[in-house]
Amino acid sequence: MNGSIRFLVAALALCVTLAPTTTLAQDVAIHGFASQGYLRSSDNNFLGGNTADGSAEYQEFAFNISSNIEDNLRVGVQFFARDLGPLGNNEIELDWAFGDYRWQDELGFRVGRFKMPYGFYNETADFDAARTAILMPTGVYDQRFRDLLVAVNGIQTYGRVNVIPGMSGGLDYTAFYGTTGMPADGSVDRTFDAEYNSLPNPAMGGLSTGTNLQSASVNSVAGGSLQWETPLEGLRLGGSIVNYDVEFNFAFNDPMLSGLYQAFGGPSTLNFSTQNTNFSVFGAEYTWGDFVFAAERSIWKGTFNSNAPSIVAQVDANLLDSNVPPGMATVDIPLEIGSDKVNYSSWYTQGSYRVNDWFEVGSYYSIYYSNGDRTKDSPNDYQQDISISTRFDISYAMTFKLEAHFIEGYGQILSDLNPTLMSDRSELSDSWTMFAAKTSFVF
Amino acid sequence: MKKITLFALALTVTVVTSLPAHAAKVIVNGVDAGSVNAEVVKNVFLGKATKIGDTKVSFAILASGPTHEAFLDDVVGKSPSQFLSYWRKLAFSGKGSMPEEFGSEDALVAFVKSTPGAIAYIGDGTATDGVTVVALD
Repeated sequence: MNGSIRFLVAALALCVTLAPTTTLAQDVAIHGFASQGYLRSSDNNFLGGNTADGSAEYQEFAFNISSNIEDNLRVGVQFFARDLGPLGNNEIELDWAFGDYRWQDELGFRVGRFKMPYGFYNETADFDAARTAILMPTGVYDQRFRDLLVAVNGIQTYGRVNVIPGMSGGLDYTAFYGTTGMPADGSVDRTFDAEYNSLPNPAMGGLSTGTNLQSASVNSVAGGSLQWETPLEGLRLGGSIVNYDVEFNFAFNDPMLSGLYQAFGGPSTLNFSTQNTNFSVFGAEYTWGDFVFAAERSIWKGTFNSNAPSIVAQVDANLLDSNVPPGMATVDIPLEIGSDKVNYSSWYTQGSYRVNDWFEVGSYYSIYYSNGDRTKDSPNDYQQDISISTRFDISYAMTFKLEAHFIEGYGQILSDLNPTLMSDRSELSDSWTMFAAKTSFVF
Repeated sequence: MKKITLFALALTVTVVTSLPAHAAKVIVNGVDAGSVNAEVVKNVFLGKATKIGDTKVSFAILASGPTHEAFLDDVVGKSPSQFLSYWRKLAFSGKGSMPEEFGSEDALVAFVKSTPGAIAYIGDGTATDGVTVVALD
């Protein structure tokens, strides 16, 4: 057990000791949760490491402390750790920490690190007990890009206004500006490494055109969200948009190719930057008694501009094949590093029903497309998921869930979890299932 | 045009039929009773409003029971599990703290009585000495 985990366990123990009241003083509150899950897939490995053999690398822990230090001023901090296959490894991170000045109900400000308002559920995506399902719809709430969406370091304004005088309901708005960190070996890092890895390319003299993400920085992130609670009791409509100014620096995996590229005037690392990458999502949620229905659609569009000139490297064939005598032949290696566009989209619809005090059922249909045409020509173009969830509230503080997923396509699985993806896609299954179990403790 | 009329009619019927029945009584201390209505009370208990009129308010809830269920259903528009989940989401996103809970209606009345700007709810049989009972029309 490393130091950070010992610290977390000690903090949780302290919080558990205090849990019966959850209030230290009049205005100081402590809360926390701990979750342990299990994932098993019939074929492809997805999210939680080696799920085809069953994986318990699926945990989340959090604790927070907050206080109203003045009438309109609130401060708080939450620490969070998780393990999801290769991600997280239970390293403690600062989840949120901000001061919240609520000048009026119509206008308030938060300064610090706050959860990103994106869609109906992004701010509590790590909190299992908040929902019926174990795995949220993986297209709209895409774990691969969690680092970009989890939180913002900056300033946020928010409030609630009544848009139709005399009618019930109201409009909750928020807008924010800041930046966010992308940890090395985090979800984005691994996703891009997996996406842009490649095998030796015969057309390029056997060199690997694969790249490895060296660094990534978010220069700025700006966005906003609107949620309208309509006069129709239980119905709310919402939309969010987030714009990024991001830079990624990649290096070639193959040192020979990297050397060649620099020898012909190319940079040592490939820089891709974008100022017009947008995540957007809009949807509706309707609560009718013990039923809750929701549907959301998300789009990620962006163009990454490259700093790399397109060149043709003419090299001695002996460098690539020692059987060819030096000076006998040359090989042309085109190095065209152009711009790259992403156009991902997804939508889902889900419903849940609270049967009684301790039992809830739910289901959703979710589909993700990795291409702008939204076609299913290849299993890599999409991932469709039909889920069935059950939730048991064992007590006020403890939940237990069981869930099944029936999945077609594999557009969201990563090559580092599925080595065969790189060499022989036929070994991947385009129709597969996933079983999930999870228990959570909340105080 | 006919479709719009039908939609408007359906909306009106839904809004009217979803007006609260007020099985639980709302009690306040130091709050202008004339400014209290169902919509304001709902917003206070969902953390969307912190003032009634010009008064900063604080609210408290019962931990469980039929009065708690009736109030949430009639005024807030949520079941107890939905209400708990709603506040837990706020607590774990840093946007709010869990409401203060009391185990009995007498304790809730005592809290309101001793706290200027407090608002809560009780059932019919509980004594209301020292607090103002507000009718939600």
